[in-house]
Amino acid sequence: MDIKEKLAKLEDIMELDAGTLRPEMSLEEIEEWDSLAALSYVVMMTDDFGKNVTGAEIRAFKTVQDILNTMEK
Amino acid sequence: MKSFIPSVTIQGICATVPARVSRFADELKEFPFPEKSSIRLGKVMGFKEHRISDPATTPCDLASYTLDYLFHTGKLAREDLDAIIVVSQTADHPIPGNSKVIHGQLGLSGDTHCVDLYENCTGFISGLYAASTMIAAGAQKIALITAETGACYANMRDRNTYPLVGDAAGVALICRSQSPEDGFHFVFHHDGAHRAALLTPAGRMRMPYSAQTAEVQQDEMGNFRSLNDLYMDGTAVFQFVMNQVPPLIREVCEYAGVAVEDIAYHLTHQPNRFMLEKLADMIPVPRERLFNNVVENFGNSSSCTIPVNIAFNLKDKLLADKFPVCLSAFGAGLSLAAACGSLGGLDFCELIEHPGQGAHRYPPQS
Repeated sequence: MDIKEKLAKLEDIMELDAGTLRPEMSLEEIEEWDSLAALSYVVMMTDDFGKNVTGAEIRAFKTVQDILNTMEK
Repeated sequence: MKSFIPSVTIQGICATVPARVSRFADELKEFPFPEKSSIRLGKVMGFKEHRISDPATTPCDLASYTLDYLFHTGKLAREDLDAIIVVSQTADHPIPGNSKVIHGQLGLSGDTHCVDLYENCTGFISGLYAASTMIAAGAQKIALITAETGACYANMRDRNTYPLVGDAAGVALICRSQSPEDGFHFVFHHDGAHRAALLTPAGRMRMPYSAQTAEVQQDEMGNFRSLNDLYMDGTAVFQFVMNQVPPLIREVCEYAGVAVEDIAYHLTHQPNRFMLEKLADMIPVPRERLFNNVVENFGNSSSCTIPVNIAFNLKDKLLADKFPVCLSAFGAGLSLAAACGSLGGLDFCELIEHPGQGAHRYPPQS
């Protein structure tokens, strides 16, 4: 999966328009990165990447890039 | 642990919810998040309204009212009860246990045995197992009672817990059956090492209530709670359920010799709609055979969700018919429980409302 597809998945999770997210963006500035988005991320990681992420890992995310880094099989 | 207990049947179910309704739309302003985000969350999770007792109403008030209703309407005779088994984590007093309070409130016979089980989400199935073992040892009729007014342990400003909690009581009449076809196959698993995922830290011997434990703090996600309040690591609990419950259900069905697809209904504990939809897809079973509507109508009342689920969703079917069901529950512990057996041909299956403001006989005096 290339970076464009990964960003599109994250935009889907946060219900943002396509092309809104950039890797260097700080999550603190994205209002849509909330507990529901985090839950959707957990489900996506299980379904698409077969990974169990922890709440501690999610809380440690600072930027969009941090999330992108976890999106590997 | 696995166990099969033959010649036991559930003969009736009655659940009671407080008449007092709390609506998600009215609670939004309490949460430390933009309302838009809370509304979005509520839509996915199924947060609409839930039943929360007023502070004057205790778990024993809800339970005794349920039994008194059954006595008063002739659905159950108090002198027939060999035992009451009371499942709860909220109590009227530290001493004695709820079962004795209920015994006293109802004036039950001195020969009725009283037992308390300190259990939460898996409590109905643990209680069904305890009742079944007593039946196997010679008892004829047992009232399995679940009762919780634990919603007060969730902080109103914790969006992780408050919108989903609810209070309720349930009574299931467990009887000896002449039919060898009746009986339940049970499976239990526990993972106490991960108990921190769902925990109320303070209020007992490990951490007694103090000024410090009552101090409300904001967590990294923005929610407010004190050490006296319920804490839930939503991610850990979600993954626990997704990873552990589908194999649990396959295990109990295989043990009972029933194909998963031949189970008419999967009657589960009710944490939230989202998790239950995903669970149905994962097992997999059609979503209409695994109800997910208890939280949006009444809230998650811990050990009471299975009786509420059954009384709310299957009343007419269970009075008229009998079919194979699989009960399953999961939650604090972390614990897993499942029971497979036939359910139906009930003497009663009802959902009633408690009027609030403490103890009442049935019918309540206005």
